[in-house]
Amino acid sequence: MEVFWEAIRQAVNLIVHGNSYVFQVMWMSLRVAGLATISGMIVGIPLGTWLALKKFWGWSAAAAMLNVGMMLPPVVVGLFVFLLLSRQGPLGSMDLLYTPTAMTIAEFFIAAPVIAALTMSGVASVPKEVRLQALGLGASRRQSIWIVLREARVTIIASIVGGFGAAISEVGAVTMVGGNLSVDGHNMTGTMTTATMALVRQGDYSLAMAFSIILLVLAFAITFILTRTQQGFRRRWLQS
Amino acid sequence: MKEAVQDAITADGLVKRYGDRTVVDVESMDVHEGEVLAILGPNGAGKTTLFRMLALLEPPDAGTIRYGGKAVTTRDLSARRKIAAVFQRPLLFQGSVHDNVAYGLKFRHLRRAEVKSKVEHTLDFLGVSRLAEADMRSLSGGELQRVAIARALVLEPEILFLDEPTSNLDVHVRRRFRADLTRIVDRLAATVIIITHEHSEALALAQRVAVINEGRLVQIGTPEEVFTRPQNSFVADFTGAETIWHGVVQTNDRGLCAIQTEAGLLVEAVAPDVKVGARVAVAIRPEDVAIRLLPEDSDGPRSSARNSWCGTVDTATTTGMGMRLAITFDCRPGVVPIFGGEGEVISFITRASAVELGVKPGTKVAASAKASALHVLMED
Repeated sequence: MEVFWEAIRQAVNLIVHGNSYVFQVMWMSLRVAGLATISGMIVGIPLGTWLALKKFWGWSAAAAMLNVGMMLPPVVVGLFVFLLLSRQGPLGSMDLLYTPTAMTIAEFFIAAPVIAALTMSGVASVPKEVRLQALGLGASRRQSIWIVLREARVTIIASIVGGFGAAISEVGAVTMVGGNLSVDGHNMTGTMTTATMALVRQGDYSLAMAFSIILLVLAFAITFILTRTQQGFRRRWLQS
Repeated sequence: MKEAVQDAITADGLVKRYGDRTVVDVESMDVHEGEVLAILGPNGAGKTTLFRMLALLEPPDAGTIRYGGKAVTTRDLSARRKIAAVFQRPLLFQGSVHDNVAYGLKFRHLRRAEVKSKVEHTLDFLGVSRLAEADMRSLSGGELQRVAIARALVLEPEILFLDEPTSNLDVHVRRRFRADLTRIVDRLAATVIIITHEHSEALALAQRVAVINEGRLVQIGTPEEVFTRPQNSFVADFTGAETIWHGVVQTNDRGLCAIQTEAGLLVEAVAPDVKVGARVAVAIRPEDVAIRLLPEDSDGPRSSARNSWCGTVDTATTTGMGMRLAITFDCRPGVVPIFGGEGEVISFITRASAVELGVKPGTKVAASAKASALHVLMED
């Protein structure tokens, strides 16, 4: 138990005194997960919306694929991106392996299906008549889709929270394509999850605990902001 | 000289199928400019699908729709912006009453000041300006539907589509809302298409009524034509002729026909165009059937009326306005009386008459109807 409290004490000390390595790793985590979530939104929201509004031959298979994508084992995603970016892979010439870009790509494949699948479910739960009503008031196709998205925004924000959560807590895929590298004490591809794992292996529990606390606080803060936004929408809707 | 009627909408060969089921199959239909047309039909008749196709919200599988003579489709945004649709459920979007009424104007990219002024004017016109910033959840059913109407009226549409706008409301709210709707429609310089399954709504609002059954347009005309001269037994039944008998025309003396019904009754009806030997249906509205009491030992009605039948009250049901009686006749052997069908007539009398006569099940009565109250319909 003493080890535990000592680790926490040291962790708070590292955070309060602004250890530069800690901040580099924190920034890397936020940057990679943030970019992966934004790319996931760019692809996932239109894809989920399209699948919710269109019925076509093979729709069930496409929807099932998306739901499977939500549960993709991160190691499988990591291996897929690794093979894609490795020297022998189709994108090997781009020399992206063991870079933050490779990690962003891996996390994108983890966040995007979550965002797309939850968006699909949210948009599909908006009554079909809402879009027809918008069209009946002279909305263009695009404006009518915008109305539907506005009606589903509480679920769409939940999908972004879910996507970001999946990305920032990822370890397996990121380790595989990022390598958790640091050069001369300068972080290159370490994220808070991969660094925590490596530090535990090395027996540096205080630093590992510092990362865990930051990860928890960060995850809580970002989720809190997004949830507040979501609740704000809901409250404004209730009050309007 | 009679003014030529312009058509706001014409539809030709409209077909809509869901899987193997044809839900709408309308050969031809027109809506005159400036008129209020009620599309009347039972639940599941295809009214809403027809409404959505005419309002360019759903594409037909076949057929053409024209607005003012020009062929239009669901992709024609400028045509869609000439109309406004109000749905059965007041589907209000997230936001305040003001926001909701402003949506259609914002779709058209109007300036903010113009939007504000139009919204305020419309809310004022509908008497709901006090609700402009109101919580949607606190609005009553009538207020929600009023806001839904305001959202459409603010667009000053050339054609206003109303899909059963009162069916979601409580009875007492519905009555008041319908009165308001009549006022709104009267003031509106637009063509109005209203979907309804209620006769009273069609009669109160419409200049013409189109009756739809199983996706087909079965009759279109003024309310008087449709309600008093139904073209077939479905329209007769749907518009309230609760008694429908089937039979064969025995004689036709300058339009006064004698018809032998399947239950063995010989009835007389005014029908100039039917031929002797033709199979016909005879429809009678309950309010056109009068009754008088018969003593227990009576051997039949003694009256100058040609259509006077002796029978026994089978059921007496009290309704809001009066009493509905099912009167059973002595049928031809082998014929079992059917409610409102062969061997039975439905009569509607006022509460005062019911009390005065003291009618109850088992009372012997004579039911009578004028020959002109019997509508003769050619069998399909």
